[in-house]
Amino acid sequence: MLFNSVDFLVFFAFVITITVIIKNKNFSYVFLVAASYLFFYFSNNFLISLLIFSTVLDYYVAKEIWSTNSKSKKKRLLIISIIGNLGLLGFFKYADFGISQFNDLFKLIGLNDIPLLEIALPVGISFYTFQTLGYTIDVYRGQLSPAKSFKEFALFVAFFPQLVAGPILRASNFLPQIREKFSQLNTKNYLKQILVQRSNLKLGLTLMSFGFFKKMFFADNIAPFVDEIFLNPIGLDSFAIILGTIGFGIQLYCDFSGYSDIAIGAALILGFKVPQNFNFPFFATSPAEFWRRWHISLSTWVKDYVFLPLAINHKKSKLRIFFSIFTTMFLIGIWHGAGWNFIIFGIIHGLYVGIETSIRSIFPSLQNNSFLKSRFGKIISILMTQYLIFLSFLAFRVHDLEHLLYSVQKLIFIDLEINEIPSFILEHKLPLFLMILFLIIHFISFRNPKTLDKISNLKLTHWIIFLIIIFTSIIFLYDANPRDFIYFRF
Amino acid sequence: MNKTILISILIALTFSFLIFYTFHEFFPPQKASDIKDHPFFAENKNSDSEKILLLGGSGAIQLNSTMINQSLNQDYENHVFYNLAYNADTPKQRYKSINETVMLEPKLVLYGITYYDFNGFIWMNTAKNIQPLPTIELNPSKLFSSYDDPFLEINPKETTLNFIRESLGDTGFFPTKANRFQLENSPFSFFDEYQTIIANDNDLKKISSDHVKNMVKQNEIIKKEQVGYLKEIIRLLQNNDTEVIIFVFPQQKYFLDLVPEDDKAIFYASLEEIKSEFNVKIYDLSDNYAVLNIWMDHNHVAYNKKSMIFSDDIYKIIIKEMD
Repeated sequence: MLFNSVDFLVFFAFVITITVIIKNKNFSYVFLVAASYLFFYFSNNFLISLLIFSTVLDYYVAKEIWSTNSKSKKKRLLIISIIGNLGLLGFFKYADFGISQFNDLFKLIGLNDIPLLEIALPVGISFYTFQTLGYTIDVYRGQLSPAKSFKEFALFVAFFPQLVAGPILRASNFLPQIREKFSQLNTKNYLKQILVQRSNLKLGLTLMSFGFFKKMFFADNIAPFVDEIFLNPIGLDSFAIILGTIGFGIQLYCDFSGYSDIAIGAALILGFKVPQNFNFPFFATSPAEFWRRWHISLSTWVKDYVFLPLAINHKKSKLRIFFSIFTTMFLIGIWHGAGWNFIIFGIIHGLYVGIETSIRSIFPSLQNNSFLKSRFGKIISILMTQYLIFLSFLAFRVHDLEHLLYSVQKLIFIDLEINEIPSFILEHKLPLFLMILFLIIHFISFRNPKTLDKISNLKLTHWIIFLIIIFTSIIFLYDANPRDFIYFRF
Repeated sequence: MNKTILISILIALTFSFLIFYTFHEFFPPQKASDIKDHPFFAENKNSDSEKILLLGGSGAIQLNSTMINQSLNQDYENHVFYNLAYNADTPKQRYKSINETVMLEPKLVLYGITYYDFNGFIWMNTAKNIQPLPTIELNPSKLFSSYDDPFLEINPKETTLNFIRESLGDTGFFPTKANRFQLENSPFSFFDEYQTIIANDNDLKKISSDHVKNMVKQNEIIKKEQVGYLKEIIRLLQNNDTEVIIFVFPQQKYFLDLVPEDDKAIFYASLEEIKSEFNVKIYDLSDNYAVLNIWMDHNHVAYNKKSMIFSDDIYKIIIKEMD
């Protein structure tokens, strides 16, 4: 079920209506779990069984870990959870890629191919397996007490707004919110239950509108331009490749952050706070900062569960720190999918962040360098960082190796072919206009981080005018051929 | 207070849709397939010439109608050939202009067809997440439409862009594409330069089996509807003493190799059904030029001197039927 579909609007309106009408805590609780499973069933069909498997496995494993005092048993149970979750992810996401790599090797020595399994990738598997795994690791570390009931854990794993494309929830953040709303304590506090509150409703709807705007106005209308450029980039000049690359970066950001906005907004309407997933990544001044601003829920997850365990006891070894960073970024790369392009993406970012961290540790004075702190220095840092980031996005978008090498070459060794530029601009007026418009809006939002709050606090008539502008813009450029969200594929 | 906010959302939505629909009513977009009111029909309705018409989609646009018409004139006096093909034709779409076509009183009609004509170009809308298990029957979107036929729906983006293009047409901001041309006897189609270029083998090799599968998938409901329209077209033409023949468009080898056998069987079974019901001849050109170096892409022969074999063969079919 796509967020940008009539199905979702009907579904969401139904969930809100029932929640508002029936104010019984027990009913709301069960209803929200059931609605989340129904949502997932629409998106994933019978592959919902994998979600249930992951939920059951980690619920009972975490409970056992908590109740036992034996360290070795705790460790064994944790390994079961890791194997269960990563095995599921590995089988459904990477099995065919692995087989095809073996087949390529077998060909060299004249052996027969192993037939591919041709398994469909279950929507959201990369998100919910990380969510359940993170929960079990937290319980293992003693940082979190296990869920009080299966219902509670099931809602944490399957909460529908963020289920298929994140943000990846952390149990330490979300379980207390569930408990606050559904605990049986007689608090007489209306805030402590599922209530659609005015402030949340208005802010949530504003956020959702922004999400739809990013996805349907910007991403979907820039996508055909990007597709056209990278269908076969061979022969195109640098100008076209640069614009195609920028277009893809904007498309990817609007697509994914648009989804996150809708998810966060929908959750907020139901009274749940889902953490921010993007924080103006195109204004990052270094690759490491980029990852603190882009897909924040994933980067903090891998930092806590992969990087820190690898690096914690080796703080003084620069090589070890570099290795830990490289491994972490490599995992982020392959988390996105099974393919050499994602491996390359991970390697590139491993090198970016690893080299940056090494330089910072070798030259600690850079931290206080007056040029880098100046406005001009920051602009230079942003431009250089974004150049490197957009260069890496090519690996994300261009899957054909010949096409990828050609595009990278055109982006690094910029040709000065200017004869075709006017006709290229004339032929792609709409996407180029949208890209410029996006950059202007993005810059204004960056300079005014409270824009969203200001809009949601507008007088009702002004707020309605704002919504009409957003909805009308979306409708007028709506292509009756909805595209799914890019991050559904991960 | 929540009610006020929800009512505000409804007002904003209603207002936005109202603005669009009013706009759409005033400035409806013209599609290539909206040929019903094209002056071609009025201009040729009362002509004394015997008309040979070719109907079909983009696969037929590439034919050299000038050459076919000139050759026909040499052999048959007072006969004229028109290629009425347009992009993304389907029997359902063609049916909208069938009365105008019948009024031309053609002597012979050739209808070019291929796999994707029978799935109504639904492949363009096919979701990418194909699941191995049975799909759910209970789908809320079915409440709103039986299936996503892009030709049934309004495409707001098309309306908007058409409006902008037409409004600013004289400003030079939307220049006509360089080297675009039209053949005299092909009133509903244009050629751009890229349609004259023969693709190289390396580019043709880049084809995904998923793409082909989606493209040729013979969805039972949609296929039944499209075949129903094709039958109705044939019936109307035959009732007006027009001879109808069907030919299957040629396709490139790499494409044909990826067409699933099941879909192939269903497609040809539909043609056999039409053949036996209406006694029409079917010429299968699907793999006649599959390995020749004449292709613009996998589904279209290039409009090029080297590709004249396609036009020659169509002409031979016409002559055979005339004799």
